[in-house]
Amino acid sequence: MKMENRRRSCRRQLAIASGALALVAAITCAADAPRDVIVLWSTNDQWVKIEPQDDAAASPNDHPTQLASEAISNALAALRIRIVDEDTAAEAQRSVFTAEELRNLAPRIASGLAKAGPRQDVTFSTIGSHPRSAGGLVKDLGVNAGRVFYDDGKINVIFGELQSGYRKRNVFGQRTEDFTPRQQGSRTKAAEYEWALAARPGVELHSNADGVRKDWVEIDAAAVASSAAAVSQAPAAATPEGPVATKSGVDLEQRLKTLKELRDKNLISEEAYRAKMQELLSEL
Amino acid sequence: MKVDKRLVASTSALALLLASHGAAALDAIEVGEWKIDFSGNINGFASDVKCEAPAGGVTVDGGLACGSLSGRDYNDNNIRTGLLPSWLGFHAEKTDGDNKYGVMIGFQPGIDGGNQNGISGGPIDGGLGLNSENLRQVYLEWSGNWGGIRIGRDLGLFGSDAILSDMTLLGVGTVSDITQGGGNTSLGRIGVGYVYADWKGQIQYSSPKFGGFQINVALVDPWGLVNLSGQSLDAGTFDQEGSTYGLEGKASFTFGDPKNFNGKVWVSAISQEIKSAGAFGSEDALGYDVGAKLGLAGFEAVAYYYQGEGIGTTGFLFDAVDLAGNARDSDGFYVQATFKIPGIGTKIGASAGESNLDRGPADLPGTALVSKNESIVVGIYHPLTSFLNLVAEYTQTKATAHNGAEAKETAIAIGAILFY
Repeated sequence: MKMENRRRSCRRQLAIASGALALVAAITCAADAPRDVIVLWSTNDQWVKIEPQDDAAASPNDHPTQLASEAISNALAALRIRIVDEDTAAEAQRSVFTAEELRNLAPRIASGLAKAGPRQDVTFSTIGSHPRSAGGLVKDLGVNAGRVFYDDGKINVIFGELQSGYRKRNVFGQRTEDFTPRQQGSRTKAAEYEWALAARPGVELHSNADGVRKDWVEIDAAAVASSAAAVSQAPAAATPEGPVATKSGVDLEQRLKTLKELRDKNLISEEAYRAKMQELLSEL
Repeated sequence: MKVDKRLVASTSALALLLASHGAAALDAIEVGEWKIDFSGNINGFASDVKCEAPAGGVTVDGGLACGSLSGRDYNDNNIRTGLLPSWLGFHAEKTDGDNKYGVMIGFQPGIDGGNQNGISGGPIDGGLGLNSENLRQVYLEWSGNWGGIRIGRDLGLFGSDAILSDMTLLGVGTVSDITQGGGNTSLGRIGVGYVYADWKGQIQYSSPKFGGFQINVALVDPWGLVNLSGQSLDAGTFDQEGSTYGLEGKASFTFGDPKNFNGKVWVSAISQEIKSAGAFGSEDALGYDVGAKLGLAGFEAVAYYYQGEGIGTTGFLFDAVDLAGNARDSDGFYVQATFKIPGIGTKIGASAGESNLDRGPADLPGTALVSKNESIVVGIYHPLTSFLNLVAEYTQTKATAHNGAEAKETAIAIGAILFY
C-alpha cells in the first residue's frame, strides 16, 4: 500500500507538473500569437473575419477603404451562378447569396474593409437555403465561402465554396466540424465547382496569364448601382433570384416560379406578388 | 401532446428525399424551419487476437488482457466493430431569434455476430444473438448567447476528452475477454489509460466560449456498482439508484489555428455518493483528470492523467469498492504522439498508457484482483477519401494482478471506417 501511494504521488506530481507546463505554454502561446485573424462576426457555423492575404507575392490591396454597406450589398446581390442543363443545354442563372446572407454579410464586410490593412483580406463563410423546387418545402443548404478585397477601384471576391453541400462529421456523437474544411478562396489556385459564376453588367470574371477565373469576380460597385437603377426603370427586368430577362415562354415560367419563391420567402408582399404576377401574365 | 407539425413534415419528407436525391442526399437540408441531417459511420475490422493467460491457469480478476478472466490461452479471430460504434445519428435544429433548438438521436448497430447471450439466454451466433443493438444518444438542447442546456442521454463529461483524443477511436485497441467474440465495440484505450466517460442521462449546461475558455457542468443519472472482478461489491449491495445524483464538470481551453500551432487543455471531475442498502454505509466516488493536446505542422501529442477514489477502473464504478464496502483508489495516464504525412494525409501514431487499481482495506496482499492494465498501440490511419479511412493497428495489452500474475493480449486489426 505504501509503495502504491508513493507511486501514485509520483505520478500525480508528474501529471500536475506536465499539466501546469502545458497550461503555461498554451496561455503563453495564445497571448503571444500574432493577431493574424480578427473575427468580426461568428454564429451558427458562419463568420466574417479579417485575415492575411493568402499569397505573399500578391500586390497590396487598397485598404483600408470606406464603402457603404448598401454598396456592398448591391455588389454581392449582383452575383449570379450559371446553371446549364446537361440535357437541354439551356442556361439559367440564380443569385449566389440569399437575402439573409446579404443582411449578415454586407455590414460586416464594409466594416472589415474599413479596418483591414493592405496585406489583409476580409474572409467569409455563410450558409444559405435554396428551394429545391419553386415554392417547395424542402431547401438545399449551400455554403458560400471566400475572400473579399478592394483593389483598383473594384470589389474582388474569390470563392472557395460556391453553394457547396453542408454537413457535419459525426465522431462518437460529437458534431463538431464540417465534413470537409471550408475553402476560403485562393489567388493562386482556382477552385472547382459544379457551377460557375456569371459575368454581368458591372461584374467581370478575373483573368490573368492562366486564363479566365470562374471563381473570382471583380465588381464595379458604381456600374452595378447604375445597372440596378436602369433595371428598376424597366418593369420586365430580372428579379434578384431570377434568370436574365427574355421574352421567351421558358423564361416567363422561370420568372413566375421565382416570383413565387420571393413571396414564399416573404421578401415581397402579397399585393406586390399579385400585381407582378398579373404583369407577367399579361405578356402572354 | 403538442407536436411541431413542421418537424413531423421534416422527418417524413426526409425518407423520400434520401431515395430521390442521389449523392446530395446526406447533405443537410432545410425543411420548413428545421435543418435536418443524418450522420455517422460504419466501421469493420478483421481482428486477430492472441491471448496468454497467467501461468498455472489462474486469473487476473478485472484484467483487460484477454485470458485474464478466462484463465486460459486462446486465439480469437473476429470480423468486428472497433472502438467507435457504427452510428446512425439523426439531428434536427431550428433557430428562433438569438436561440437555437435541436434534437439528436443516435442509434449504434454493431456488426458483430459473436456468441453473446441470445434469445435462449445462452451464447448464440448470428441473427438470434442480441449483442448488436444500442441507443446511446437521445437529447434535446437549446442554446444562445447565454450558453446552452442539453437534456437527455449523452457522453459523460469526466474522461470525455480522453476518449475523444484517443487515436484508437478510429481503430480497435484492446479487445479483452469482455468483448472478444462480440459485444457492441472493442475497448480501445478504455481501462488502459482512462475511465470510460460512458453515455449518461444528464442535464448539462455549457457556458459560452470566452476566448476559447469554456465550462460545462452536468447533473447526472446515478449509476450502480459493477463487479467485473468478482472481488467487489456490486449494485445488489450498493444500490444507490434513485438515492443521489452524480455531478460532473469540465473546464477547457482551446487555442490556436488548426493549420498552425493549436491545442486544448482541460480538467474535469466526477462525484457521486454510493450508498449501501445494508450495513456497509456509504462512500463518495470522487475523481478528477487533467489533459492536454497540442498540435503543430502535422504533429499532435496528447498527455492525460486521472485519479480517483471509489470511481473504480475501466468503467465508472467498476470494481470501485472491496468486499467490505471500502472505496478503492485508482489512477492512470496515457501519452500519444501522431504525425500526419503532408500531401498524403496518412496518420501514423503510437500511444502507451495504464490504469491502476489499488487494494482496498479488505483486499489481501496476495489477491488476484487486477493491479494494473497497460497497453501500447501503434497505428496507421490512411484517408482513402475525405470520408473513408483505412486502418491498421497493433496493440499489446498486459494485465497484472496484485499477486503478480500476468496475462497478455496481442491484437492485430485491419479494417476500414466510412463516415457519411
